[in-house]
Amino acid sequence: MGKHVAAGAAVDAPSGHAIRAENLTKTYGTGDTAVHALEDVTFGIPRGEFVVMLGPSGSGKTTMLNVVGALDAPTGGDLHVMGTSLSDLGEDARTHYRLSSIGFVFQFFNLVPTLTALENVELLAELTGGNAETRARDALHQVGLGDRVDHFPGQLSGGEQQRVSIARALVKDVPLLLCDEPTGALDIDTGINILRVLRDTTERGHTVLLVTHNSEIARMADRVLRLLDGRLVADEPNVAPAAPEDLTW
Amino acid sequence: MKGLPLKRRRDIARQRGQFLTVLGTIVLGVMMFAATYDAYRNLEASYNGTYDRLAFADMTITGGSPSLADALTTVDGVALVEARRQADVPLQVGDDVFLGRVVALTGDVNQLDVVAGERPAGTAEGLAETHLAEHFELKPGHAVAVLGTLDVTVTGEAISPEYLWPARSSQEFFEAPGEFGVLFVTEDVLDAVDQAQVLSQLLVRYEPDVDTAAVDAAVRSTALEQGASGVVAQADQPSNEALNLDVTGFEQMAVFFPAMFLLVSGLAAYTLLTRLVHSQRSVIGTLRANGFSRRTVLRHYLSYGLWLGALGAVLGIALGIPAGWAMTAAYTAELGIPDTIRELRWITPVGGLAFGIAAGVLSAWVPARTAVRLAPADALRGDSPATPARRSLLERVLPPSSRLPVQWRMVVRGIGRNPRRSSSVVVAIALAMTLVYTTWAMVDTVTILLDRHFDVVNHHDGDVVTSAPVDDAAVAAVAGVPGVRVAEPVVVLDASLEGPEDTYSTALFAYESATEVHGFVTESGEGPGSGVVVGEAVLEETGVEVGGTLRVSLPGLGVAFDATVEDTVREPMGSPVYVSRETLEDVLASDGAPGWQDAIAQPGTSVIALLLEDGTDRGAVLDAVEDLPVVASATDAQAAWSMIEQYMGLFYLIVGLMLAFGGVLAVALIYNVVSVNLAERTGELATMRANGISHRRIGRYVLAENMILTAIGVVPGALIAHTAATWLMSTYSTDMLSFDLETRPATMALTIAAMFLVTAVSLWPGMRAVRRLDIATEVRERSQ
Repeated sequence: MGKHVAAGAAVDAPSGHAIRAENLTKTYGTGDTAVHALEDVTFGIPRGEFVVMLGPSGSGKTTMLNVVGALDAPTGGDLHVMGTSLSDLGEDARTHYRLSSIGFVFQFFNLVPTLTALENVELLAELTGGNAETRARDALHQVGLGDRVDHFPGQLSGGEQQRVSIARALVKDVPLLLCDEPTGALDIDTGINILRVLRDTTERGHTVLLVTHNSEIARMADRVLRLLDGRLVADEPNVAPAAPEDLTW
Repeated sequence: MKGLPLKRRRDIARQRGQFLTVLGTIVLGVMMFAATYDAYRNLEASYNGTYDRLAFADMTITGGSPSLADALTTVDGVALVEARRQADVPLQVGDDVFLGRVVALTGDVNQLDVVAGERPAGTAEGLAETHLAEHFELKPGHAVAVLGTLDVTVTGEAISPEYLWPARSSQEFFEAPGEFGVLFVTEDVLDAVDQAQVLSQLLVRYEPDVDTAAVDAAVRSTALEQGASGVVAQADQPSNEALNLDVTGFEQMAVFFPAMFLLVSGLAAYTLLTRLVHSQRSVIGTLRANGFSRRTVLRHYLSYGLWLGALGAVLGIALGIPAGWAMTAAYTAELGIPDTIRELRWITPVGGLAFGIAAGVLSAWVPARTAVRLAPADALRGDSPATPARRSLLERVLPPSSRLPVQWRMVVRGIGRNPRRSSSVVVAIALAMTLVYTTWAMVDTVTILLDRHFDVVNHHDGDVVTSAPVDDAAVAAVAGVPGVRVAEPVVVLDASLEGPEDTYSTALFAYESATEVHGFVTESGEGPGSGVVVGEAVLEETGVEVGGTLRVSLPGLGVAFDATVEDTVREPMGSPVYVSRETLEDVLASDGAPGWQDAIAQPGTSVIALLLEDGTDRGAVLDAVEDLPVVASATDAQAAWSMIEQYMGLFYLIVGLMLAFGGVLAVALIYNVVSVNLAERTGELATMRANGISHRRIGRYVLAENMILTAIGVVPGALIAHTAATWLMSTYSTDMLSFDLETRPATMALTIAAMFLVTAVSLWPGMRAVRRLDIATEVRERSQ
């Protein structure tokens, strides 16, 4: 492990980096049965970039997302996200970090079925202060659901539900969005719409880290990180990212 | 086919906490049935065993013409008629004097079980009834004095079927040890006592296997035609009636409580299996798509309930039968019943198996049918039917509630998310409340009624039995003892009340009109005027109404008179008849019965009731009264309260167990329902955790949702509980005991508070599960 820093303390991270990982390691189990999900991974993601992490099944990309999202703790190395060191965070500190620094978007939307789209977003907005309803409406408007705010999840399409979950992440006004196969449960057209929404968030200063096995999606990224067997095998800036509409799979 | 049984085993192992909970409630329900049913049947058999062995009289008749005995032998079904005499007289053992009873030895009916010593062979000898012998440690050779008459030599100790519970009468069946005792004596002893005290009786024994009710009716009719003043069937005999209260209690428990437990276990199993089927939709679709028939699928999911029910029943029976036997042994030992019969009856295991399996299979029926009805294509898509979502009833009825913070709207709507499951929680609370409240109410009722009996009705401090007739001088002498505030003579006579429909034997009490030593719990608050005031059961037994006329017979005096029923008394114990002393004297005087003044003044027929000054040393004052030459004994009238408290220990133990079971019941079902609720929402909850909502906050949502359900449940729960308690107490009411429900105001409030506590406790495992959610895994599962 690198030097211990108090959780939440501002660190002189290299300026402009949303995520900075150095020799990041995550191992499950011990001895002969140990699984090295991540091995000596080092990278930096500048703020405001749309980054895709690619890799086949078992490459460690989900583990990476879990560690960056403080759903799991690294075994070794240093990891700083938005200036916060994620080493040695207790349960309460991790919860606070997830509330204030990141937003998650998962493949399965997991909306609360008894709340409307607006209420699903408002639920998180209430925790972060201010006028929750106004902020929730704005977030839903940003993702193009301004006219569906009073619909329950059962009345929304898959794509609409995913947009609600993106709005839910955005309403917290967090700098970093972590997306795990956000188009995995959607058809191609709907998926492209979702990618467009996510791409648009970077225009407003958010950083997006999207994990997928779909290499086509990587064409729209500003940077592509490739994982294989837990190791970072490539860190490639994309000079001319494709538009979401140009993608096909 | 190995695969499906293996699947079942693995499914149960994965949710073993919930399956074990359901299993536990089935075990408890069947165990309670087996234990209480066996205890009820064993106790009944034990009592009947003793009665049969000792030829307990089927009917006891007091008075009647000299030809009555012959007439009774001609009644169909009568096997034996034996005459006997008895008298209530002052007895003295050492320095202790009390109003006891001497009963002539009989040969064929009401036989005695001699447990020490031997039957008398000479004169002035007798066997001490076992309670008397134990209290005074009487051994062969000891003497018991019939005060002022002769000494009886004790030849041994005996158990009598008439006094298994040592009750003086139906109205006086709680006597403190040493306050009442029975000697079975040779005839010469009865010849020696004052004949005015002697009752002549006929003991009737029936043929085996007769229609008891028919023979009872025929014997009663014959006896009354021939002038009998008292006709008491075996079922109404005071000792038997007192013992049967326990039998009745167990009989009620054998049905009521197991039914509740099995209902709850059925609900819990239904909730669990419904969830299981729902979560296995795609598995069911795959099985059906690959050729598994509907019948196979139906049998598979029914088998979960069958296994739960069968295993629960077997365990319940294995625990319940020994428990029932232990309860039987404890009861017969505590009460001194000589025969303890414990039998293995086929009905117990068969009934237990049937109840357990029925609970399991019936609860699995609907989920299994649901599984069968799933269209394989729909099930394979893995799409769950959309949870019907709309604003809650509260928001629709009270629109401003839509302005509640979203987190509280989520809580309120969560209640309607699965109406059946929410209903299960409401039902669980209602049932648990019923169980807890009925048992608590039983304690309240018994305590309040006993307080009423000793503090309001029989609130006098002392009972004085004199060695000489109770006259003005005797009363004055007692009243003159320092510390005595009031001394009043009270006449107590055996009485037979004849109404429009039937006759009832009881005790007649004659207090002075302005008595201070007795409280009358009547509508008017007043005692009898020129008529009589009777216990409520007298109305039911005789068919008379308030304002109607009773024929009052006093066999001891050979007098009968008509009296108007002026009012009824609501007394916890006994159903006596009260007449004012003045009215009694007027009746006796107008009747012209010779020597009635002396007859009613006899010691035992008249006693002196005392009220002591506040703050005096009760024991010292009563000792001083007993030192008076005219006094034979002065006893503390409140001593019976202590004896009753002693017997209450077993009652409180059972009540405590019932309260605990009620809590277990509620915890089991609520835990099950909450677990299922949380399992359905792990995706949402994990996503909330992933987005920064703490497990504590989520725990508050879960707690609030279930507390609201609890609050909803306590409303019908209170109604059902109160109704059930009222019904249950009424089943214990007889002419000896009036158990109208009486509760303290705090009891319902405490019961309700207990339900909220139980809900909180049962949520703890679920909250722990929320804290331990594997967020990373759960957010990636398709929501179910």
